[in-house]
Amino acid sequence: MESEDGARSRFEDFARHERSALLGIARRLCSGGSIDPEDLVQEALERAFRQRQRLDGQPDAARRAFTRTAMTNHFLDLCRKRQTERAAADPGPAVEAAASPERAEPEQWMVVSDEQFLAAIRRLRPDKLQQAYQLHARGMRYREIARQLGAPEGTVGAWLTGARDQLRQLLSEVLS
Amino acid sequence: MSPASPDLHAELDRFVDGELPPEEAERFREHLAGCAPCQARLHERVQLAGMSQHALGGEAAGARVIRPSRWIARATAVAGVAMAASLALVISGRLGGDPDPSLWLAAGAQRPLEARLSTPAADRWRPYEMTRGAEPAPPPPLPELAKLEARGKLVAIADAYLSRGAPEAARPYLDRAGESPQAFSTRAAMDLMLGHPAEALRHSARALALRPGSGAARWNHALALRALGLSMAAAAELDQVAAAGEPGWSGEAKQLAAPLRAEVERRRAAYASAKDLCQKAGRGEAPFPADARDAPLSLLRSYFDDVLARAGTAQAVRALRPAAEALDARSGGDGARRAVDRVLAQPFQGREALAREYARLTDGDQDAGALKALAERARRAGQLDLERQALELLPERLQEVERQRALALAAADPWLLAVADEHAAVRDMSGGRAGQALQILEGRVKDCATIDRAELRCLYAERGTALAHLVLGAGAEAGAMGLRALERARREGNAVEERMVLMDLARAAEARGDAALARAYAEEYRLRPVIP
Repeated sequence: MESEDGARSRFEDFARHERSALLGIARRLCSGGSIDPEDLVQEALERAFRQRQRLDGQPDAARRAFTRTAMTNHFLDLCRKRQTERAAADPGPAVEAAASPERAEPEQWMVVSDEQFLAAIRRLRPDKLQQAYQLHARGMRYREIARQLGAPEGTVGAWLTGARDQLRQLLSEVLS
Repeated sequence: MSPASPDLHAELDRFVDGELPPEEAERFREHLAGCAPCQARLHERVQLAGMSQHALGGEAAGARVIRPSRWIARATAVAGVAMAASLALVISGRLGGDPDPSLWLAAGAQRPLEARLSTPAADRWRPYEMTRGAEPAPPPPLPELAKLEARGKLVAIADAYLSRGAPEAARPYLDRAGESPQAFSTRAAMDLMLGHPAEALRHSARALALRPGSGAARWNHALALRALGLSMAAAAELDQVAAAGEPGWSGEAKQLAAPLRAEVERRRAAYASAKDLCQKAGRGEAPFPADARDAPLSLLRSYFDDVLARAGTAQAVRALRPAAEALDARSGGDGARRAVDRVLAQPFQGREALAREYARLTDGDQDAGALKALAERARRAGQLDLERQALELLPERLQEVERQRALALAAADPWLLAVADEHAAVRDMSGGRAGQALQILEGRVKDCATIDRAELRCLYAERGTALAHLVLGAGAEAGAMGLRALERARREGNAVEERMVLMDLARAAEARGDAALARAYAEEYRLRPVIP
């Protein structure tokens, strides 16, 4: 079937490009733990693949948002599962109970275009905060950003948190 | 759900950024399982991280070929679709740990390459210093390369070679590196080093299509545009790099953009000023500007013929002799002097009225019927220069090509003969005889290769040849000839023709399916100032 073949080949292109970005995030979420980041990405892409017909006509930004939400949902599922297992093994008061699995829906983030996002980044203030955010997005660690911008690492962390809060604010109109 | 601990909440960003030590990260994951607000915030932070990575290009270089991905295998079973067994996915990976920046010579105070590399550790801004003729850097340490190769970081290896000025050594790695934005952007850097700007443009454009916010790819795209002589488009790209505010790169982008614009403006101003002076001379308000600096000789010669036609008396014609001599001295011919002599040899009876009428029509609406009538009267009065000038003003479709040629032959003036050729070529092309036009113009282009004189109108011959190729569907030949014309227009300071050639080049690139190049030329055409 042509449409199925087309959707699959378009999905493969998408997955090829998206995989490395997802893996970068997954490795950080899983660092020092027992969850395999490759599995996380695999599962996210599988979930997106099952929705390929629905996602086919969507802009790439929307498909990426969907896949990221799927990955975060799966990651949280695994965290909760481990928590439940720990609670069963050691029913002491110290272990936090798993929060009810309210699943986030990706629709909200699917409407943000690349252009809107880039425009929001350019509006981040003060300038150092924007620079810190850009350097971080280009793969730099806090330590290296601190060196480049001549600021303590703690300040870099505060700038990045501030930048994300600002972005949330700047994108709020689009998101609502 | 447990009550949220404010301390742990504050750790969320450091957790998402992978900045927590392993045991703290594990503690945070336990907390996350029970904290609904943190879960909601995690969703938001992951979205922002993903969008930033995509928009700003955060991935490290590297790609590897893996087995058919499990999701395809599983999904295939679900969908019941047979998959090719050989299907292998090329995926990009992120560099783990902090690789030694010396592998990319990133610790030096100066940057060895003007282009930007994709590996973050290699892409540290430092002032660029041209090191032509310097000692070549030693090759990168092989054990380090082997480690990178084992991890599939092929773009990082290519970057190591490029930072040492060894583009040919980088190529085999890029050939295997797949189709990631990083691979394309680094490939553009390699193309630039090898002196292949059109390839660099294509590759950087592909990188940008995949990741519009990549500063490195946009930088390399700007350098490719600049190397192609597309100054305004390059400056526009550099503006975008400057606006992105990356430390160092932003300032250098501004410094690079300013002279590109200034040079285009200088050429525009020189052309416009020469044209203005010529028109003043035509109205008798100023002497003919034969010595106007930076003015294209073709513009001066065209206007000289116009000013000469407006001279109604022997005295006025003789007054133009010094300008004719100055012009000929610049162009290395004798066309202007001989034009003056020819007019002086014509009877002056009736010339004054005809010259006045010519000036009125030229400065007015250039009505075709009135121009034809004037040409006829001038012919009868033996004012052949006036006849030719009047015919020259007719729209192309009304050109009397044979009469133009006869007048040019009678004057034995190479400039006038070249103009007649061009009219004939246009007539042939619009009459479906582009092959014939090509024959005429290609012969002239051949002459231009050995005799480079303004009188031969080589720029127009080259541009006409490019157009004939285009009509014949030969995009590659049209492009090659268009480039020659572009180069010549620039050398001669002919800003008007330069802009027109850009559009020809856009069409030629489109004809041979090079969308990135076509877009670049069309954009440069759009950004070039129009000279009225």
